[in-house]
Amino acid sequence: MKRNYQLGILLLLLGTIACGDAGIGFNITRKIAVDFNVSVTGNDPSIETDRPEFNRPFRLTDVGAFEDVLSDLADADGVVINSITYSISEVSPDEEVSLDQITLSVASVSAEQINVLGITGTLQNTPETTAGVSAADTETIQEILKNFKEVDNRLTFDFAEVPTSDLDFIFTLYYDVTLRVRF
Amino acid sequence: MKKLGIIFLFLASHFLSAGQTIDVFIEGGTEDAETLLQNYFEPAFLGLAYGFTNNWTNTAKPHQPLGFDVTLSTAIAFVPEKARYFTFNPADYEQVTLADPSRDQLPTIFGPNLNADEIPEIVFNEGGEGEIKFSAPTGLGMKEAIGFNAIPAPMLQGGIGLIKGTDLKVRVIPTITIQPDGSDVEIRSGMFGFGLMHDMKQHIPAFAFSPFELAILAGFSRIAIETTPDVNVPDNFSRLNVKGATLQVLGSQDFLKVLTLFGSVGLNGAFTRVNLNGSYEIESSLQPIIDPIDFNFTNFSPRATAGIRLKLALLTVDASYTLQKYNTLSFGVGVSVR
Repeated sequence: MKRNYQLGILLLLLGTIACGDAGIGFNITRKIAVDFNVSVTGNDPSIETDRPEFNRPFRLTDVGAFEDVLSDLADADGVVINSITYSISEVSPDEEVSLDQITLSVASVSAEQINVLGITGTLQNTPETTAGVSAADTETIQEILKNFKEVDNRLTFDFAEVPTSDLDFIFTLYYDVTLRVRF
Repeated sequence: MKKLGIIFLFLASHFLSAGQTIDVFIEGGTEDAETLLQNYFEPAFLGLAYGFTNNWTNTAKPHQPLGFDVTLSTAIAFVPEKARYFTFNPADYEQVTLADPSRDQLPTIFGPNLNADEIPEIVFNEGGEGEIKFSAPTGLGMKEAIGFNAIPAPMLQGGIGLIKGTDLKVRVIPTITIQPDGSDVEIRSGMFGFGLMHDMKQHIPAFAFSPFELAILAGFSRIAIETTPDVNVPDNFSRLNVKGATLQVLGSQDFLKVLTLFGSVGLNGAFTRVNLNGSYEIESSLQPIIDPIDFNFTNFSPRATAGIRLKLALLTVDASYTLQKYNTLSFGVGVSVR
């Protein structure tokens, strides 16, 4: 549901009459889940060369608490990513197949994909865990979010063997993001 | 001091500009929102209310029948140092917590103007799907800018002598509407008050020929500030009602018909009601929330005043200082006839 932020407009008024140098600003933090509903057809040898890909954008404008303040982000560090985590759920026992790698890559509307995460081992239900994205890659994502307000996420599955049955599960990516809003 | 001149706009707009947080606050439940807002704005509400309990009179001597005075005055209520912060008490909230419980001192509106990175974070719906962390609102840093925290309460007052040593006092600031250029925001503000002062000396024979004047006074003032953030949505608005009441015993003595020393003791009351009316959509509810904020609080304080008045023909100039919960310095200039 779209939030009604009309009251927030008045913050601008206040910003003009605050007495101190710091002015008026606030930080707002939310952890946002980006769900990938993964569905892979079993016994399909083509996935060895044409690896299954799933794309989901993460848009700051889709976050109700963020949408009305995006035009007033601080010049420096307007978007701060506190953590990137992921979870895997709804994997049934017969879907626990071996992985060469699940790759997460991100891109902006004008930049190429960069790989930021690789998950290996066995596909299995995984509680929320740190994604281990490097500081440099995190900074890149921050810049993308600050400049474009959205980042494209691509999840690519490289299975060790062709799954013998259909796979249906949910991969959830969590962005814990702070917006630093300054007037 | 220039900043003080726009204090009313500041109060009104800041109250509404908490809209930066109001709808987020509401996410944490309207009762929690009311508690947070009350704690944050309390010094402003009390300062305003206690400011308007002053300047009712500059003498205990009532007018003769149909004698009158007109006085333009202002009272400056000083905000105590301890009111720059409030303590976040988790027991007072249902769905709001602190990100770091050890940092429980949050700025009030009269707190220092801090960068949001330095202010403790409050958490709405901690652990829930809609958890939001939000830096608490900053203070405005008035003390750092002008050396003290204060709220001025200007007023125009008229008094007229009735019968039996009784004066009727009426004070008013006509309702004004402000709509900043190019803005959809509209702010309306007005003030009204009335009081009665009655000579007590006539009831105490021992005082009949004394040069010392003795009277009692009761006064009531109300200021209302209504803000509509978007005139295209007129049903969504906030209303701040601040009332100040006072009951005093007054004494005064004239010297050389020019100088008057006056003083009083009594009790003040401050009554505040805050409403946020209209329909507001929030993330955690499918249905809009109607009239989400409505709270009031009351505060009382004993008071003691000492002041001086100069009367030059019809012209009067006075100054006084009042000890009360929010100590107040007052000035006035006017004309007084009979």
